[in-house]
Amino acid sequence: MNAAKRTLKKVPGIVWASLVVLLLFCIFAKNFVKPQNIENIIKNSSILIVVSIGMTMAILSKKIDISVGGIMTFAGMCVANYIKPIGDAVNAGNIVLALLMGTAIGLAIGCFNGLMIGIFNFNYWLITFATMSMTYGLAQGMSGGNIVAGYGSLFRNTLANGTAILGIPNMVVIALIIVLIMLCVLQRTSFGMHIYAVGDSENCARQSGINVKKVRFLIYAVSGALAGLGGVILIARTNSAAPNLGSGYEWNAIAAVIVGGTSMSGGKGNLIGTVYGVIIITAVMSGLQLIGLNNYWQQFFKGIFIMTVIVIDVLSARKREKIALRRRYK
Amino acid sequence: MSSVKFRNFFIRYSRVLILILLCIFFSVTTSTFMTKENFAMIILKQAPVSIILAIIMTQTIILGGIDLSMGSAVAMLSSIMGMALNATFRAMPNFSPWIGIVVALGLGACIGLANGFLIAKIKIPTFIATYSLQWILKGIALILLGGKQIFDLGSNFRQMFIGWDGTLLAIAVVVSLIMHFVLKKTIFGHQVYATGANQAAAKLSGIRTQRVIMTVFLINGILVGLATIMNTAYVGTAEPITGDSFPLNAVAATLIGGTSIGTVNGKISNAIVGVLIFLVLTNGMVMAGVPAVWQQFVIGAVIVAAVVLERGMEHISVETV
Repeated sequence: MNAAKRTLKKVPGIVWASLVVLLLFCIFAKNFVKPQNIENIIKNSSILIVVSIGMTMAILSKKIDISVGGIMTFAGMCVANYIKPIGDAVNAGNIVLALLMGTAIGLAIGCFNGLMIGIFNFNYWLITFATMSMTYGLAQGMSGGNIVAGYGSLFRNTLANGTAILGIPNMVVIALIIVLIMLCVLQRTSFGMHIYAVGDSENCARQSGINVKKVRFLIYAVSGALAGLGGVILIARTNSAAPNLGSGYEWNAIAAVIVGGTSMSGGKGNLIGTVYGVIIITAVMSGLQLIGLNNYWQQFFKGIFIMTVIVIDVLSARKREKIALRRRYK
Repeated sequence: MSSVKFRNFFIRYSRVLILILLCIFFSVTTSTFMTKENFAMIILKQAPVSIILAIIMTQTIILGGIDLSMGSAVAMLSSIMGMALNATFRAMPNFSPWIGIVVALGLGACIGLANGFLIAKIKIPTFIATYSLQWILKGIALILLGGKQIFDLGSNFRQMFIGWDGTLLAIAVVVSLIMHFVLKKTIFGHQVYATGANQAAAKLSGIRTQRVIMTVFLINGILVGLATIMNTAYVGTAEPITGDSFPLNAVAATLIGGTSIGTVNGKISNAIVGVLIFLVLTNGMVMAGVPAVWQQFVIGAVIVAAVVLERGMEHISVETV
């Protein structure tokens, strides 16, 4: 009984708050608990999960990567330009190449971020902000501002909606595989431990012999690669690539990571929490739609929601610090 | 000795040099850049609003953050001011512009206070606070006008700002001078720089950092209101979808002017030179026939170039000391 109580107390307050929000949607939003909507939520979550993993790593290390939306857009646009002319004649080789291409483009941009932020120590807000604008700009320039839509059905089915294993959509399977791999990396490898160490205190990490520059570089590289992969899955899901394809994903990812209990003060949190956060965020977006709010009100409430989440996170972190201080000086 | 002097001179005026080189480059490569009309458009019409926005961004960058809410704030203030002007100008034609102006400045101050509260009291990173506020403000603007535009702003409102060509520029110059004085010659200005460089140290040396941050964002909010008035008068319509590119442009202009995050390099003169470089670059690109879709990429590249350039300058100046 006591053990159960203790584990319940460990659950952050934000989890309870989000559960209350979900319950409200279940009561007030029509069709919210219908199987079709739940399937939709899970499918949409799987893309955001892939993107949020990189964001989790970045926030764990006390920095942030706001260029993920732009990287998704640029990688998605490149792959769209490659896969669209092939049309229905697309084969397995093309799909593998498309995946590799998207990931490699993301990796290249991520490496640029990592080089500037990790190795040369430039301000991370500025650099990722600039990368965001450059990647959106490249996607826009490449497509001339137009939408590149309509790909072969094999491409769409293999990467998104088709069901190869047990009737689970392929995009969900891909997301699960990546989550498992990254979970191992974060919890079981020295690189993962180093991320936590760097986020907790960069000075301590450096003095205990961790190569902080390398860790930071790798975080941004992996984040970029995963964002590129997410972009490929996103175009397969929506069957179109617009120059603003991934806009908003960076902020949904930040919100999801924080809802999942990873603190902006660095070094605290885990990937399972992020998966939970992603599902909550996607469910909230879907719920806002199903309540019957138009786009404008959705934007308004999205802002309110994300702001509330962050305010709660910051305030609770400060409270935790205060309690810890009081204990130390008692 | 003289080489050190030359170096310092070079570092100090490197951005002006870039501006001159860009002007020479575009006037050689294109025939339409170096004309009286083009320069009048850049300096009298585009520069004033950009300078006000760059001043806002400079102050935020001195404090160590980026203000992303300015674009949506302009959109929302412009919508509300447009509605106020539209509703009042028939009933009291002599008085109506002032109602619009007071509405814009007052609501701008409220937005600034909201930003300041989130950043100073709750201590959310500036970037995230202003970004989530951006969604909310944009949502309000769209809810109010629903994608419509207001064309009927009353003739005397535009007459007030557009009647003489130089009005907008004069406002920008006056604001620049006042803000330069505030930042460089007052105690408050020194407190702003101290807070931006190291908030903990500033607090320990007796500066009320929270109040300083709140005040800076209050000033920024009022300036956003002013920028809204100027922008709406110049464009001639109030619309909720304006201003999306403002934050990005302002960041690029401020950084290329030589301001860097959390340092004493943040100067109003830097902001003005940066705005001019930015406008000459974008204008020259259009004149040289670069498609408009590539503009956003170039602006992002300008930001990267600016921070790299700043680091390079730091290197040179450190060696001389």
